[in-house]
Amino acid sequence: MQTKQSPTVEVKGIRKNFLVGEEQSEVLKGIDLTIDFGEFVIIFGPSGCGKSTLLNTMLGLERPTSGSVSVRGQDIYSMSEDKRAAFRLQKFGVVYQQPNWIRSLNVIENVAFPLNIAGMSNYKAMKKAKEILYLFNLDRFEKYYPMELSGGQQQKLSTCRALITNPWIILADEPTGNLDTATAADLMCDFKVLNEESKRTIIMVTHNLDYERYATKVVYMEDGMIKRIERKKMPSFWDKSNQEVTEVV
Amino acid sequence: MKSFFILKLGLKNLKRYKLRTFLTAGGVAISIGFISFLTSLGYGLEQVSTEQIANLDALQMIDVSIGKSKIVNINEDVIRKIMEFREVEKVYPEISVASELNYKGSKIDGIVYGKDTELLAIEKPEVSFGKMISGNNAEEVMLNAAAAKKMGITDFRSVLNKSIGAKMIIRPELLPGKASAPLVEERQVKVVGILEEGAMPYAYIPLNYVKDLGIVNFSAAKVKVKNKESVDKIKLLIEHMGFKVSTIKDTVDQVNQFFSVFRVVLVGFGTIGVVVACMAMFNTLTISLVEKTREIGIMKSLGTSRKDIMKIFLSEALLIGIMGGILGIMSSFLLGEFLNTTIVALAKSTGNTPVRIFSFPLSLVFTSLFLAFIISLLTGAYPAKRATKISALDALRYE
Repeated sequence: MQTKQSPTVEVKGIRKNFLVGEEQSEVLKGIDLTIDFGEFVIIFGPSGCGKSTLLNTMLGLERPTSGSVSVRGQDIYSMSEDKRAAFRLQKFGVVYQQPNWIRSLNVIENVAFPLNIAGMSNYKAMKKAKEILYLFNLDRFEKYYPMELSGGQQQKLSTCRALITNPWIILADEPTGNLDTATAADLMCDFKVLNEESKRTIIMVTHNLDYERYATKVVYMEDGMIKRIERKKMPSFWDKSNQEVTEVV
Repeated sequence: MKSFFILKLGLKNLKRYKLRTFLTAGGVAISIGFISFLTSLGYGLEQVSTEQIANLDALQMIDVSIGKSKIVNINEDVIRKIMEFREVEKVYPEISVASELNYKGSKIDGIVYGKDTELLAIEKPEVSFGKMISGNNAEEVMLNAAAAKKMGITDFRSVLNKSIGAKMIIRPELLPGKASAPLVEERQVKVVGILEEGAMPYAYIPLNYVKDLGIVNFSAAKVKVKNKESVDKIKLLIEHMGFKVSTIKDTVDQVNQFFSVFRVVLVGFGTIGVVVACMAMFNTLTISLVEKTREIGIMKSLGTSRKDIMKIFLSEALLIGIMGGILGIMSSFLLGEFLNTTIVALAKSTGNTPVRIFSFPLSLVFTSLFLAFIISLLTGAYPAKRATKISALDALRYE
């Protein structure tokens, strides 16, 4: 029997206004969303619907105008900025559409960077980075600079960096946006494996409906609101019955 | 974040823009080099001056004379009393008498000083030919070059070990009792050395040899105290005995005061260079901040604290500053040493006294390094603070 515990991420009544010129523009209009352990959530919607803002709000980078975001029961916006940064480092791994690198560091140093932030010794951090690069078959590029790699390899590298601190949650903002179909499918498979085998909660923002099949929950957004949520089958480790259930909320 | 990693990251960032780093550190190097070069000149000149004025022993010496007094005299009793002060090591009386010196019929007027050989060993007058007088009773004389030249001696070596006549006119106040007329005594003494210094003709004769002519009151005395710190106290005590007292320390203090002001003026000029270097460094760091905006965004989104972001930027500023500082100090040291060597070589070849006009005490090296550190801290603080305030999302969107 499953014990009742706090949701992995709980978003309650989130509103976010931006000042555009002299006018207030409401980008998120009261979002409520609960994400449980082991889910693969895809947030889908057209450009400008507020899905990236929602993701950044969950990540602790965009303070909402009102509402709260709790991760495993901890309200992240009640923390100081530095505490939130430390919390983010520990609990989240992030993959962006544009791979962002520290340009003076090579592949292995970039992957090890989050461990360096955490204060791990450089030797240990590099050792761990080497291991993860090996798992993603990127170890032969460790001395290269990230910008020397292809788009697909860079996204895999981003995933390596996101995973190095062994976080609970992987947040991905249009990670396949700049990739060709085959490379994108390859990356999605990596995410699926991470979700099913490594039991990571994955929250991904995309506007490509083809990726619906990887998700256990699809959140449809429009004009800063959630229009509907579809629940699909949970990964095999989570739901042994393996029955596909589609629920329209 | 560990300090080692912050330094490593700082070095890697600087390595990425080698030319810019080199130029900025070069600017700091020039300003620090300029300022330490000028200051070393100040120190060097001061050292040359004070060395010429006084060696260590001279700083422990007090000159005692009767001044214009008609009441006090420097005699054996007075010397004994001064010797009774605990801090006094030795008292060296001196006699000076007007004389007529003659050599092979050539007569000149000059001063003959009765000198204690021990005092001569302390004063170390520069002997260009021959040697010092051998003892306090020796029938020997040392002439200065001016006296020798005036007597028509061109080859100074030729006069060594030859006798010259010295007709000494001893003032009545140096004689016992109430003598009213001066005493005139003529002696033959052997020339043993030629002294370098002095424009007026003079000669040194052993003290006792002059004293034995019947002198009981000395012209002056030099008091050597056990340590420099006691000079002022003993000076005061002797003054209270009614004598006129002066010390080389007073002159050295005046020279030091002059060079303190001189150094401040030199540093003032150097400061202009420092200000220019500061502006260049500030400019570089601000450009670097703009270029790294996206990187700041990714660092923050990954969980880097504001304190660590600040440290990363400050480390770059400090690395540039310290590199520039070390380079500047080394360059100014090498240039100073080169000039010192050249001046010494030139002085030796032209027969002048060699001097080293640039001096690099350790305090100058540390002060210059500290200055470089302060420059980097000042110029790095603003960009570092600004980096901490950049919003992670704005930074990530920055193109």
